Amino acid sequence: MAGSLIKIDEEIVTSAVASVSLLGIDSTYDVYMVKLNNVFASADDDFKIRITKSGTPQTDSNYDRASKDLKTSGAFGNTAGTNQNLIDFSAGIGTSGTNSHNAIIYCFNFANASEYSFITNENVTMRNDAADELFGFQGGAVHTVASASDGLHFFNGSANNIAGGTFTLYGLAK
Amino acid sequence: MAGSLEFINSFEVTGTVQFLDCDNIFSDKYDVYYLTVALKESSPGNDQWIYTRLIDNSGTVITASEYDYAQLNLISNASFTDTRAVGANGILFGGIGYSDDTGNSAGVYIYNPNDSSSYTFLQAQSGSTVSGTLWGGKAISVHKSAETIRGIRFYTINYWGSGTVRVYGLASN
Repeated sequence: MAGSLIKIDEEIVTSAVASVSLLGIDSTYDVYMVKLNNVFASADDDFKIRITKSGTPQTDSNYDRASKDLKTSGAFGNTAGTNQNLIDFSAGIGTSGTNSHNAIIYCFNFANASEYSFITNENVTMRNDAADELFGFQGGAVHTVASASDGLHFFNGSANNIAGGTFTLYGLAK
Repeated sequence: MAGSLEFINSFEVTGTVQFLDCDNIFSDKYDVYYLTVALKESSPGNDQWIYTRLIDNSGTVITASEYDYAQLNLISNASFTDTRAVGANGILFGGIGYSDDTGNSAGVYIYNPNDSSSYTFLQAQSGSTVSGTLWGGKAISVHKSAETIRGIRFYTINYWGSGTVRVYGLASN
């Protein structure tokens, strides 16, 4: 019997790279899911996302995002922004599997050229910066440009390399 | 085409119990797992939080103070609340196992349990009704010891009378 979660693309990082793109989103499925596990950097950094169109990361200032920030050091916070040039996706990922970033992202409307591209995300990491705490975003983001998108581009905000991790894109079968 | 969400096993509450062990479910076949959880207390008024502990590679339930967790409680008739702990001996999983038909349900992702060089991370979302009030939960947690984990225990301070946990692997195929 065919399953309902179909792998589209996967990138396994075993030596350092500047960024990772997961591509292949089209009209085959309405909704796509991305799984990240055990992702870490060459030096402590903050993980970011941009949406791709025709394989090219979009660097325009058309990203809005909002999330609840779950953490162990104090009251949970809210993080939000409009008209940004990236999606802030994590805080303080580290350099090994004990400080790695792990996440599930859903992608909506990406293939529809007349709709905005939306994502929801939930993630968890053990921060390796001064905060040294369990931390995770629960939220969503949108690229407010009505044109078809085909993937996600992952990179570190301070330009440190991605040193390890598995990035997988699935389609949710209709 | 084969799918990438693969059923591994299911575990059911039989009788009246305080815990349910899901053992020998993690292996080198998958990096990430998804569990569906529905556990109900044995009698009305017994509603209590569901907690979890991990099971190590020798089959021992880990009770050391090696767990951190943070949970957002979304309550339908009151302000949302935060619950968090560092160095706890178990994880507040979320969900309240109430013995009413509208009971509780949850899904949890578990990352890297079989990787002896990584921490095991968990991420849960849950929903439950307690005396007619909706309680939602969004939770993250970590087991801060880099070791191989082979299973998970769900437990309560009261008693469960029914329930099922189903385990799936997210495959790379």
